This record gives sequence, structure tokens and C-alpha cells, in this order.
Amino acid sequence: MTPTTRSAAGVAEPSGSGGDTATPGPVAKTRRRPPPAGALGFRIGVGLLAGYLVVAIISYFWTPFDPLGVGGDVLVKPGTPYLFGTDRLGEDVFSRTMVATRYDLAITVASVGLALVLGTILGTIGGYYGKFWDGAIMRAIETFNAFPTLLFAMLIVSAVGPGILNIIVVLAFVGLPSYLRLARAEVMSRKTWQFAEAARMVGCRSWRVAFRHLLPNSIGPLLAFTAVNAAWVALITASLGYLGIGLQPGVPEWGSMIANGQDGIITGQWWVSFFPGMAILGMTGSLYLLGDGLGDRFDPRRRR
Amino acid sequence: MSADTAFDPAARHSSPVREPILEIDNYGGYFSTSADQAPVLKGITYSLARGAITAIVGETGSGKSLTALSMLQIQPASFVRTSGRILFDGQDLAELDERTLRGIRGARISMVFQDARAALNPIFTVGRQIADVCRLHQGLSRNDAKDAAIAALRLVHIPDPERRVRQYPHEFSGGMAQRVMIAMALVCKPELLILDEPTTGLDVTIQAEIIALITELCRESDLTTCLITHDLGVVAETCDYAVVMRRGEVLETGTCEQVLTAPRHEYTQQLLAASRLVDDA
Amino acid sequence: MFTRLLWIVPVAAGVMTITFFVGRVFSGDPTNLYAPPQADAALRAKVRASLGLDKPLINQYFTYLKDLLHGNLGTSFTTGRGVGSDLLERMPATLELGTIALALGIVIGIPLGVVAAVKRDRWPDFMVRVFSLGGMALPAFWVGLILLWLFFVSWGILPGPVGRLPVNVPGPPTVTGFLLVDSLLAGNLSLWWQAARQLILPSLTLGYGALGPIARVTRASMVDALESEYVRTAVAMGHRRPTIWWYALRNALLPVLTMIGTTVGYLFSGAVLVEAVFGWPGVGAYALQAIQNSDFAALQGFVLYAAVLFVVCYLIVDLLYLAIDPRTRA
Repeated sequence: MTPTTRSAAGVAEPSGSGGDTATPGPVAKTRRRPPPAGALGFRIGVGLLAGYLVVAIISYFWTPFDPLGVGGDVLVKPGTPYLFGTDRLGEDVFSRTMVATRYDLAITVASVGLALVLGTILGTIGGYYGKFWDGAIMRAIETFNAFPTLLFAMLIVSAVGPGILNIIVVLAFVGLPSYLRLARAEVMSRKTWQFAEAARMVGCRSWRVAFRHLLPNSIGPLLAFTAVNAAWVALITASLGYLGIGLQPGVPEWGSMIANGQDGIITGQWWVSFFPGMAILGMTGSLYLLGDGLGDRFDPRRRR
Repeated sequence: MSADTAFDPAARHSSPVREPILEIDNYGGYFSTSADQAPVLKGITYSLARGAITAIVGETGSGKSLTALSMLQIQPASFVRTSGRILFDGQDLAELDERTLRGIRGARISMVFQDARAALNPIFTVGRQIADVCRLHQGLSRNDAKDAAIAALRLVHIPDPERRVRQYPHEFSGGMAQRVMIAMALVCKPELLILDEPTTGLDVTIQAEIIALITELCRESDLTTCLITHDLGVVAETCDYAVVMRRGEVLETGTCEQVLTAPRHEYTQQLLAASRLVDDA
Repeated sequence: MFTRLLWIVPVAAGVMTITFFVGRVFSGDPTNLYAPPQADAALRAKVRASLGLDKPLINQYFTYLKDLLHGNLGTSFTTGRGVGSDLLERMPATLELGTIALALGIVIGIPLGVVAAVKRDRWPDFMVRVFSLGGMALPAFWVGLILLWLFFVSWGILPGPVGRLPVNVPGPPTVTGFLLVDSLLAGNLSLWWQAARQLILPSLTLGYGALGPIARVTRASMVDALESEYVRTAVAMGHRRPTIWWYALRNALLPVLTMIGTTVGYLFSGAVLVEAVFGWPGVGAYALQAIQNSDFAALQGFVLYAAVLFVVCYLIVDLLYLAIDPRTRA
């Protein structure tokens, strides 16, 4: 008897299904379930990000041309020797893109890290200790959430002035509420679980239970969210750069490079804005892919 | 340890011999997602006698649910059949095309699942869901289908059916929801009703009510019933025939009386001992 | 539900307070805008006094609150007009663009998400995921620029970023403020066409950003719905595929609704970047201008508008949930 695979009405079945949505009909395929795109995406994401890190590090030691070197050939099309062409001031777009990686990557990592740590701690406290602390923190968070985030970031950054440290702190501050909410929700849902009870019975002090036992179990969704949050931070950083708010002028940053090349678009010099945009896409896209992959890995419902 | 393939339930009936409504013949397969492709069903063979209640008994992992899902061909897509047939009305269900199968599901063979409240669509009224099944298989008008839904609820003894037909699944208790599921399964008057652990998770008194309901419905309308359960108490209450399964194999079959009072297989004896039915006749 | 409504009050109060203090404490000295460059100290002091900047901060705060409760949002330093009327004048531009972008996002995003869910882990799914990833990962201003470069500069089939109408073309008599509506009301079809052409690129840009998350959430929640128990029951009852998809979709749309609510908030508070790229005279551009000119009255007015908008959006989403999901009525 030839082996047959059946599926019903093109619908994925619950419990133990392979997510196979084969079209119905007298199908006699012996096809195994294709690998979920998530795994591939995860690997692409990690690979790309590693690549960015490498580029950022290399940029400290070598770039094809001096990224701040004014006076070279102006507005040359991409090709040799200028891989991405040059801008209005004669600077090499490729070198500037490389160097900009430093800033965008650094700001993203730093502000996300800060928001993650602080937000998680505060959220854990709120979720675990409940009542007063929780209420106060949540009300404050809801107030901040009512602001459109980009504008809030713009407002504060333009107020405190340019500088990489300022940007990092402001973006961390803006991103913090999300982590807080997430950590709080996770902790609260597990607070009454058996192992927390057990830990308390054995005599662990409250904060120990909160941080040593509850938190590690909540890490999964938190990490998945972090990747997505990082993507958002990268976009806001670029947006601030585009608007001219944030870093000192002249410092290469993808957003501000796009702004610089804006006028060129109208006159046909597309490359000055194009390549930094692709760089942003690469970084943000890989962060999203990373987030998807992490989400799949930690989601208890997705059986692998 | 081999399945009792020569067993013919019809022969034991005192009434004239009737063809079994469904015969499973040496059905076997594995999951394509498992690493070693170990078979999860091995040579499953049993049949369902017309008009009788057959219990499929086994613990978790025995393959009883998987076999039942295969009857309707709604088993997980990763299941690969390696052998055997499931004959309904002379046709192998595993070879039928999707269109024919859709005509059978809900109209000639119906299935009721364990968690009724989860098995019902939360955002449509109960009446709408039942009526949709009617309209699908019987082409009824909206009003006729609504009446049929109310009648179905009345059949399963849900009080005040005209009002309840407009309610949503979350407004029903576990036992009531199970009745609704049975109503939906029976509204098109199928020949075979499969129930996969219909009482597991319900309170004991509610369990008894549901079992009584199923028995009543079966007897009244010559409905063939296949009751999947791990609870031997339920088996003892109601069933005419029993099939015992373990780890993907059929261990023994026979009339209920036979299996419960004179089990041939060691495993069955263990099950009986554990269920404290040993002293019952 | 009424508790939800009540929450607007403290949240709005918090928002106003924060905006006020941030605006006042951090922004540059707007005196420079009003006093002539060569003004001496005395003149500057006079200007400050007339702007109310000489009083202590707390007094300024209470004046602000009092004005607000009378519906007075203050006067913009840059335009010299009331902030309230400034906002009202600019809102239609943002709303018109936002509505079209939202429609695009929904009409394209949801079907794409459904297709991706039904054909999970196959080519259509893969393509939808890549496409929607672009919508989320690409900065909107870059998308706008590239679209401009392609359609305006290279191929010349669509007009440039000059705003809602081509230069020197007068608008129709204002009824709603929506050019597409007003031009039809005035019976001016060529004007309608011109306005429509100006709208194409910005709404595509904004719409692409909107459809990304919508498609993503639709896909995820549709996948969940398709794997659910009630879908299995529907299959077991012999329902046809379209029916099953509808059963699943109706459930899957609930999380999508929440996402749409968030998107609306973002779109209608004036996607600043897109408005900047296309020279769109909307609320977002107004806010940007306010930040760059330290026009804190305008800024406060805008932030208040945006915050109220967000809260209203969430409220509407809650109400829609009540209407659509019977479980919330229990």
C-alpha cells in the first residue's frame, strides 16, 4: 500500500500538526513538512546583525576613503572607485555609511539595553509587590503612553540638545514603559504559580523570589520583544537624524545622510539617500527577523 | 497480544445479522514529524455494529482518538498512512476525495469532541452554528434552519431552547455546552456518531447525565455510537461492545459483558483492577 | 466601560502638565522670535512681559490651565494666530491623507495576512512576510523619497512634493476641508483629479507603513484561529473552506482591530516624516515647525490634540470590541 498523506480542507490541525495547509483533494504526496520560515529568518537576522557589528568595528580602523573628507569629486555616480558614489560635499557615501553604522548600532544597543534593564526591574517590582507601587507606576506609564512616541522623542531631544548620550537616555526613557508593562504582566501571571509558592515556603525572601525565580521564566517573551523594540529605536534614531535633531551636524548618521541627499533626489542623484536607507532596512529588518525567531522559540504553543 | 481479527460483533446479536456500519481493517501509520518514524498505529482492526454503542477504551497514547479522527479523515496532516482501510458503506474513507468527505462529515458521520466550550466558535450564537450545519447539508432556508436548531436543542433536553438558541457558547456551562455539541452533531441525523471523551473534565453528576442522554438518543433512533473513553465506569454503564487499545494496537474486542467480566488480555485485567469495577457483574 | 471614559481626565491632565513643563523648562528662549535682533535688554524685558514669560513658572501653568478650560490653546509664536485655529486649519490635510492611508493599509493588509496564514510556510506566505517586513523596517521618509524618485523624477508620471495641490492652483470652496470631497461638491472634476494625483505618493508611503503591522498581526492571529478547536469542529461538520476561513477570520480580526486602533492614532496625529517629505501642510508638519522654532504654545496644543486622539482611538477600539466580541459583554 503506498503511503499517503491526508490533510483536511486546507486547514492546519491542532495538536501535533505540522502546520501543513496542503490544498485538499486526492493527494498522494509524501512530502514532509517544510522547515518553518522563522528558523531561516532567525539565522538571516543574526547573520546580518553580526555583519553590521563587524562593519562597525572595522570602520574604526579602515574605510575606503575618509568619511569626513570634504573636497573630493562631487556627486559621482556609484561605481569604481566610489562604491556608493559621493555626495554634494565630495564625501564617499560608502565610507560614511560604514561609519554611521557605529552610531546607529551603538545608540540602539545602549538605549534598548538601558530600557530593558530598568524597565524589567521596575516592572518586576510593580508586578510582584503589587497594590501601591504597581498602581503608581502604571498610572505614570499610561500617561506617557498617550504621547505619540516620535514626537515625544523629538521634543525631548531637541530640548536637551544634541549629543549621542542624550539620545541614548531619551530613547531609553521612551522605550522603558513597554518593558515595564511586559515584565509586570509576566511576573504577575506567574506570581501564584507553584514554584513561586514553593520558594516562599522554603523561606526565600520576597525579592529573591521575584528576581531569581520569577524573572528568568519570563525572559523568553521579553527577549523577543526586545528585538522588535530595538528595530523601533533604530528607526526613531534615523528619523531624528533625518530631521536634524540629535547628533552634531557632520557626524555621519544614516538618517541625516538621507536628509542630505534629499535635494539630490529631485535632480536625479539618487545614491546619496538610497544606500543609507538600505543600511537602515538591513539593520531594522534583521532585528525584526531576530524577534520573530526568538518569539517562535519561546512561544510554548509553537511546537518544533 | 494480537488483535482479535476474527471477531464479528454482529454474530453475537440476537437480532438478524446486520452488516457493521464501519470497518477498520489493518489500519496503520506514523507521524512524518517524528524523528524515527515509529508507527503510532499498528494493524488496527475493529468494526462498529449498526445501532449499537461501541466503546473504544484505552489510556493516553493508545491511538484511540487518532483512529477516530481518521474515520472522518481529519487527523493531523503529518500522519502518514502505511496500511489498511477504513470502510464505510463499502468505501475506503482514506481514498475518498475531499468533496465526498465533506458530504459525509456532519451528515452521515458526526463527531463530538472533548472540550465543548472550546469546540464551539465563541463569537457566533449557538443557534447560528447549528443552523449553518443544517443549511450546509440540507439546504434549508434561514428560518427552517433556525427551527431545526431549536428542535435539536430540545432533543438534547436543553430547557428553554428558543431563548438559548440565541446565546453564545460562553454562556453555557460545560455540561450544557456538551449537549449543544451533541445537538449540532445530530441535527442532520447522521448514521454514526463518534464521541471523543465527551465527559472527561465534567463533574461526575453531569457526566452521568450526558452518558444517559447519549444512551437515550442512541436507542431511540438506531444511531450507531462510537464512544471513546478511558473511563471503564462509563463503558460499564452503557456500551454494547468494547474495543481495548494500547500503544497503537487493538488488544481485544468483544461484547461489553465479555470484556469486562472475562477479559482475555492482561492489560484489560489491569485496567479493570485499577478501576475498581472488579466486583461489578 | 464608563470607567474607561473617566480615565481620559487624569491622563489628559497628566499629559497637559508634562507638556507644559517640558515645553517651558526645556525649550529655547522664544523671545528671540519676537524681539528684533538688535533689541537691548529693556526691550527684551518688555517683550518677555507681554508674552507672560516673566511670571514664575507655576503662575504660567495655572494661566495655561485656565485658558485651556476656556478652550483657548494659546497663540502660536510663529504664526501669530491661535493654536486652536491653526490646528483646525491643518487637521483636514492630515485626516484626508491618513484616511486614505488607513484604507490602503486595511484593504491590502488584511487579505495579505489571511493569504499568508492559509498558505503558511509556502511561497505566498514568504512573500507576504517579506513585503510587510519592508513596511515595518523601512523608514517612511526614505520610502517617500524613493517613490518620488521613481514616479516623479525618473518616470515623471506623478507630481512632485509640493503639497495638496499643484503650485498656484487655488483650492475649492472649503466645506469639509477634504479636497477630494470639496472639489466634487463644487463640481470641479479637474481639480479633483489634481488633488487626487497629489495624494497618491504620500498615501502610498504612509499606507505601506500601515499595512506592514496590519498584515503581520492578521497573519499571526489567523494562524492561531485556524489551529483552534472550533475550526476543527467546523471541519468535522463538513463545512466548505470559505466558510471555515470566515469562521476563523471573524475571530482573528479582534487583535487586528487593536492594531488598527494604534495605527489610526499614529496616522492621524500627523506622520511627521511623511508630511515633511511631501510638503504636506498637516498637523505633523505644524508640530515639527513648532519644535524647531521653540513655539511651545503650538507644541502644547499639538501634543494635547495627539494625546486626546490616542485616547479616543483606544476608546473606540474598546467600544468596537464590545460590539463584536460577545465575550466582552458577559
